[in-house]
This record gives sequence, C-alpha cells and structure tokens, in this order.
Amino acid sequence: MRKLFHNEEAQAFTLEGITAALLLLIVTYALFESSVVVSPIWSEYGNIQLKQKGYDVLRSLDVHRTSLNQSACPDLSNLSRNSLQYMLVQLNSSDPQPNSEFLNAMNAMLDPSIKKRLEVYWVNQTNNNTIQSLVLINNTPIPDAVGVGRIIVLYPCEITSQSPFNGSVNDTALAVEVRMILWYV
Amino acid sequence: MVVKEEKGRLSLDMLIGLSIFLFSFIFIGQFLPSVFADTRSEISVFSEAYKVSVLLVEDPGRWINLDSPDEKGFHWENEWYKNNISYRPGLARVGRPGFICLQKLVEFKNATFTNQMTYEDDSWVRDVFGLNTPDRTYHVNITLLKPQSTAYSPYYSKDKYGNVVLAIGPPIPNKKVSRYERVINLPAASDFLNVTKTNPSNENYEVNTTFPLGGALIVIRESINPSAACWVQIKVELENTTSNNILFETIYDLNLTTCNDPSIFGIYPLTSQLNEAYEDLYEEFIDTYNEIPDTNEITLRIKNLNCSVGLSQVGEILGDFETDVEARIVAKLVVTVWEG
Repeated sequence: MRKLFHNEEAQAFTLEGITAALLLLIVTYALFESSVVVSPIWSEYGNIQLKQKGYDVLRSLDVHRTSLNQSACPDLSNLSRNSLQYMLVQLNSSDPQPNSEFLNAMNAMLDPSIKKRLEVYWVNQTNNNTIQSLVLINNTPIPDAVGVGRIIVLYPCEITSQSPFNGSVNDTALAVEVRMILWYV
Repeated sequence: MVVKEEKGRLSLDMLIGLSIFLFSFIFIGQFLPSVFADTRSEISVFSEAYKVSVLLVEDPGRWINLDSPDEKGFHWENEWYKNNISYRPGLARVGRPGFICLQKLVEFKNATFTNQMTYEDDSWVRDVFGLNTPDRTYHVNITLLKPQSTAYSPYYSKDKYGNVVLAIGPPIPNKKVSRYERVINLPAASDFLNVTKTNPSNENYEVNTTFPLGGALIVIRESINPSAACWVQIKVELENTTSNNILFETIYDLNLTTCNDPSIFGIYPLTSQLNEAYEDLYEEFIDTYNEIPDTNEITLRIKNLNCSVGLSQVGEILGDFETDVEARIVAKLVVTVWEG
C-alpha cells in the first residue's frame, strides 16, 4: 500500500515538469513564428509618412495672395480654383461643398489608398468668440487616422452673404483652420 | 526509509524538468534577436530615408570656406565648385521649406554628375547625406515624380523638352526598401510648362503630349470684344496614324453669343478631366478598333478671349502661372533607401 502511494507521487511530479517545459517551448515558438511582431513604434511608421504628406498637401494648396484688389473683392477670377483660398471663398452656407477643381487637385496629390475627412474651424468674432465648425467631406475616420491643419486668412470683403463665415467677422480678417483627417484604406 | 525514497525521486524530477526548461530558455534567448532583427533593420532604413527627404525638401543647405571660416551661408549652389569649399546640399528656398529653389536643384544634379560622372552612382550622395555608417551602408535613389504616381506606377517629371527633371541613384532593387514621399512646390518656370497663348482671332491649336499629364490649367482673363461671340473648346484626341482611326472627347466647352459675363473669367484646372478622358478614350479605342493609338493630341479652339493654357509634365499647376509670383508646380520628391 505504501509502495503504491510513492509511485503515484513520482509519476505526477515527472509528468508536470516535462509537460510544463514542453508547453513553454511550444507556446513561445508558436508566438514568434506565426505572426509579425507589431510594436508601437512600428505602427507609427505609416502615420509619420501620412501626416507629413497631409501637411505637404495643405501647404501646396495654400496659394496665398500677394495683393488684393479691394474694389473687385471677392476677386474670384484671380484666385486659383484648386487653392484652399478659392475653396473657402466659394462655400455656400446652404450646401457647403468644396469645389470640384480643389477636390481634383487634392486627390491627385494624395494616393487613391488614402481616405480623408475635411473640416473647417473658425472663431465667431461677433458671438462671444465661440468656435464654429463645418464638415466639408464627411467620412468617418478609423482609430489610426492622423490629423493635419493649416490656417488660411480670409479678408472681410471676401466673406459674402452666402458664406458660412458670414456674421462671424467684424472689420478684421478671419483666420480659418482647414483640418484634414487622413487614413489608409 | 520513506523519507530517503521521496528525496531521491524528487531530485530526478527536478533534473528532468530543469533540463527541459533550460533547453527552452536557451533556445528562446537565441531565437528572439532574429525575430526583431528585421524590424530593427526596417526602422533604421526608414529613418535614413526620412532624414534625406527632410534635408533636401526643408533645408536650403550650407557652405563654408575652409580657408576663411567666416565666409559661409546657405547658397551653396553658387560656391560648391570653388576651391576649399565644404558644403552640404539642400534644395529648399531660404526660409521657405517645401518650396524648391530651381538653381539649387540644377546644381545638385551638376554636383552629383561632377563627382561621379553619372547620375546612377550614389557614392557622393551617400557621403554627403551620411548614409555610410561604420556598421552599415545604405543606397539611395532620389526622384521627382508627377503627383499621379504611386509606388507601383512611377511617372517621372519631365521638362517641356522631355528631359527627366531629377533621377539620382541606382535602380531600386527588388528587395526590401524604405520609401519616403514628399509633396514639393517648384516655381512655375518656363522649362516646366508648355504654354499656349491666344490672340483675338479664331485659333486652333494642337499639342502632342503624353499621358498622364502632370498638370493642366487654363487662365481666361478677358474678352477682346465683349459684344461678340466667344468660345473655348478643349478636346483630347487619340489616333492610330497607320489606320487613321481617330477618337476624341470634348472636356471643356464654353460657347457664348456675347462675351460680357465676367463670371467666365478665372483660373480653371483641367488635369483630372484631361487624364480621365485619355483613360476612357484609350480603352474605347482598343475596344472599337482592336488596335492601340500611337498619337495623343490635345486640341484647343479659342475665339475672342485673352487666355492662356498651360500644360506640364512635371506636376500639378496652381495659381496664375503668368502673372502671380505664388504660382507653383506641385510634384512628388521620393527618396528610396535600402541596405547595401
């Protein structure tokens, strides 16, 4: 009876040791062999390139004026239709949409694999300096999306009665932030 | 007696278990570095591509006279070929990152060619941008591409004479590389634009070109005679010169009996319309005639308007390229780096 009891204990200890060691080996090997190691730094890579490209594109589309003909203001004929300035000046509050020339230029600079959301933010100077915003391209970003922005200055005479910025400005220029959220699809 | 037997069995269990555990531990210890080696290498190559792109696109470069260290500055493009000058190239205009100085771009190519006698040898570029490190050597390829380019479909930016604007370094190998892309702004220089200006009469213009176009822009300034009729018609035309089969598509058609509406004046980009029309026509041509076209033409028919049409094989055109100093051509500067 006592001998049988000793044998059972010995078998139990040996099996546990061997099984645990083998399990450790198999699990570790399977973990590193079967999947790509994704570290936080690695996932940042795509974002760095995308964010940089976003800033570059906004800078290229910002064709700021070296002079303004006040008597002809808003002087749309002297604004390039694929610029941020033209896109903002032509906005109509009843259906605020970017013009097609602007969208074409922006899409040409960004790869087809990049999806975007476009928003504008500004301070309403006549309403206790509240921040107002508009969504111009309404796509829903994924969690890995990146955001870039650029400030564009509009002159008061460029803000027509149809403009969504109408009523937000007194006699000073209006700074509008164009915010672009980008992500890969 | 019982105590002795228990101790003996316990040592044997431990010995077997510990042996297997140590074997596993040593194996994992040797295996782990190789798992991360690939990622580490990728991180290193990517940062080198980023570094070169920033030095080129955002920095104007530096030079210094080694005999007289007080003589130094940003305009290396005027000094690099002189004696005792140390310099590091950058392409940006002083104080305007992202905006490329044309003279710096030209001199960067000249310096590469002078040092290596070919654009395909990147030895000098590697030295000057610190791509030769004590433990690694990287190769680099720097190109200027049209905005429509992707990683798998590169379209080189070419001037109006058909010369590639910038392509330095050996061909990109079929192995793991890191590619960093910047959207840059070039001046709307006459070499980068094929400009057609109109006169008051009814004019037909034909421009042979290749697609995709980097950029196309029409600037309609004013009518010559506001009470007379005016029109602008722009077509893409594909032809097979052997069979004389032709297909065309009109992409811009303005036709007014009087030309006194100021809303028609402005700056209209045409890049997407022209490129999309070409793509559609090309497929239709093959389907219809069962052959491929060998000539691509853009035809312009303009009357009673003072306007200019600019076509570029370098990049997208923004702004009034004839009057506004802020006009620019937007292209992609792509830096590709790989371990040598």
